[in-house]
Amino acid sequence: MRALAEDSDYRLRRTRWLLFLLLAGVTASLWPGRAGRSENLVFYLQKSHAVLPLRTLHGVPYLPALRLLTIFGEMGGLHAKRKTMTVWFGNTRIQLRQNNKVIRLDNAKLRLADPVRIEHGDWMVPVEFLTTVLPTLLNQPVHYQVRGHRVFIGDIQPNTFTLGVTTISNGTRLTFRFTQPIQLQTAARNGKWVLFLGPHPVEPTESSYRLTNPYISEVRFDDRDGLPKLILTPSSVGLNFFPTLTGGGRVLVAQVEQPPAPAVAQSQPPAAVAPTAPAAGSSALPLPQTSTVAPSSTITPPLPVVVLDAGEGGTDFGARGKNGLLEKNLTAQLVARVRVALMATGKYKVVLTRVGDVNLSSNQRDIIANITHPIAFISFHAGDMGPAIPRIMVYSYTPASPPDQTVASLGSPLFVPWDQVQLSYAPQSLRLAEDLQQQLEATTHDAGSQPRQAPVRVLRSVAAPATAIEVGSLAPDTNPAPLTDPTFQNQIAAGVVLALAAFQAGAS
Amino acid sequence: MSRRAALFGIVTAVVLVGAFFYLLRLKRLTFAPISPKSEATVRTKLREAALAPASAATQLVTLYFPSYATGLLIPETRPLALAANDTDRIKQVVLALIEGSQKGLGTVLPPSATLRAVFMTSDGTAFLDFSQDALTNFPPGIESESLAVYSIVDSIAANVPDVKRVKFLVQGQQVRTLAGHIDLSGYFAPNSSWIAPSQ
Repeated sequence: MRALAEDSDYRLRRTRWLLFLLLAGVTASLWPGRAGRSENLVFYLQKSHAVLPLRTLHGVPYLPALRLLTIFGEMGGLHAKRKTMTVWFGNTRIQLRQNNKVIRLDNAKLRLADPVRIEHGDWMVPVEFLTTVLPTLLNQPVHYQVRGHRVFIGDIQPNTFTLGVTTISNGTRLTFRFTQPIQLQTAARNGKWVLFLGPHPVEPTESSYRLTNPYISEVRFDDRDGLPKLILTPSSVGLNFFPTLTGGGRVLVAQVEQPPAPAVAQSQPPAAVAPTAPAAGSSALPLPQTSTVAPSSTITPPLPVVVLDAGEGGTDFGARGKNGLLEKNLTAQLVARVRVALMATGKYKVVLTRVGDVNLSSNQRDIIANITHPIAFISFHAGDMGPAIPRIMVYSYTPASPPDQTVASLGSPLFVPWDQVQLSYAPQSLRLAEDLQQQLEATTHDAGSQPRQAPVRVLRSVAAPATAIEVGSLAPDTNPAPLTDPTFQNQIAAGVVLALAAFQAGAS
Repeated sequence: MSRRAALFGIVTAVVLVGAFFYLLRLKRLTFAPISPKSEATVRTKLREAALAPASAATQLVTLYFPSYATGLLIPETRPLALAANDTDRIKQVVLALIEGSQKGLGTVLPPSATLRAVFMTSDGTAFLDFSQDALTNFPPGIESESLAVYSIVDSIAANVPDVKRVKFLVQGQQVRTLAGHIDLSGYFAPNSSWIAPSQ
């Protein structure tokens, strides 16, 4: 009996210890001060910028040491042991020790308030490194405000601005006065207007302005990705937006207006009146430059919308030519030319899916198209099309295999599966593709006679007549010079204008 | 120095010089670059040989290869000892496509691409699981991707009648597109519109 009681007591004690260890483990892993969320720190140098993630370890913001050093130049060498790392940066030898507050620069010792740490294999230095070690290392002034997210290296004078708000008869006028000239590029995202202010760093006195205004509810400055920009949030949908740059690039006037009465009845979200901007990659490929945005002024009666989609973008380079020409830049250039040609007719409102060199998924492109209810969606691509150059081929969508029950056969269903949206528009898309192929052949003599059908991903979910135009050949063994020839590109633009006219005439 | 020591020194020197040249030759043989194409061809041949039944008679199979001059698929026939079961036949057809055209037509998939596995379901769906190389070394473009996809689908359909549709996987996973353009989320039925009309 006694033995049984002792055994029971032992089990109880063991269970208590196990529970205690389990709780201690859970508490340690969830301890809030250990590793916090990450933010970005933007480093502005004289001619470039870089973004580094900031991590909070034990309540202190830390930076990855090696990535930080590579911003400022090549490292001469690196020698790492288990608890010590030595880096040669220029002529200076930097020595870091794990859990040690002292950093050696050659023979000099610099003491930090917090120790160097290793987190997931990365050597991390406290953010104090920027003001304590970096100026000595770079022999340049480093301006960093504690809890800020901008670091200015060298004698950089950041731009700043003041904001004035004026009420006008049918809207409001925002006047931004900058201390230095800016370069304006515009975009529309998620129902907001985005004004990119060029590469020079901007340090605003206020990062956000809340307005009690029937037209604009918020003006926010953001540069956490290294791109200084103003983000304007409209108070309601369907407003017209006219940004203009004056005063030698120092005064930005952004006018927000209620559209005339007929337009209000068919109000569209801001993306529909999205101002357009020079496309990405303009450094490699010169594009028509505009410092102001073409306003969508005469929308009475509303003009039919044409959506132009520049394929690829951002980190998705697409095909690559012999001289390094990238598909994303070529498509942006083509779209810019087609846009100019379409706008010149005065018959269309042009919406771009991709503005700037940004990553955009096929779904995002299709969503932008669908909310604008366009008469046509044209996606531009370039790819490996063999030795013949230039060549043009037009595609409409066909599914990989016939679906069991198409949307068309269901009449007008309440909900359409996202991957079958384009099927309802197949006949119109085919006709648009035929018109495009015919007119492109007429203007360029480089297009075939018949369009093709393929399961092109970006066309799959467009709720409008949709086609893709591919030019080629853009391949590593082919000189792509003919594709960047302005004459060829203008011929494509002219072909698209003629094809849309023919398509509209056929539709009516 | 004694005569014995001198002899020992000479023998040691000869052995060391011999070893040096032997190691030099060994290094050349070991680290000689092997062209990826020839390596892939040899690998494909080995797999084909492994799949081919010992007793089966060869028969003419039709393979569709891309012609970039026309932007269409051109049929090419070649004798092949096809296996008895469908999955091995599919592997043979795909391996022959990866091996490349004997008439100088375009390539379907990069030589480094590997067909990891093939599965067949009772409704005639063939699942082809490719290696990551099929995507990483592929020339992007609507035409190039369409030609590659339908080259495989139409070639399999022409030689394995039980296959009604094909599903592409990469590293066992479904992928959105082949190289950014052609939607690979669906099941591909044979599509003769990509085959060049016979003369």
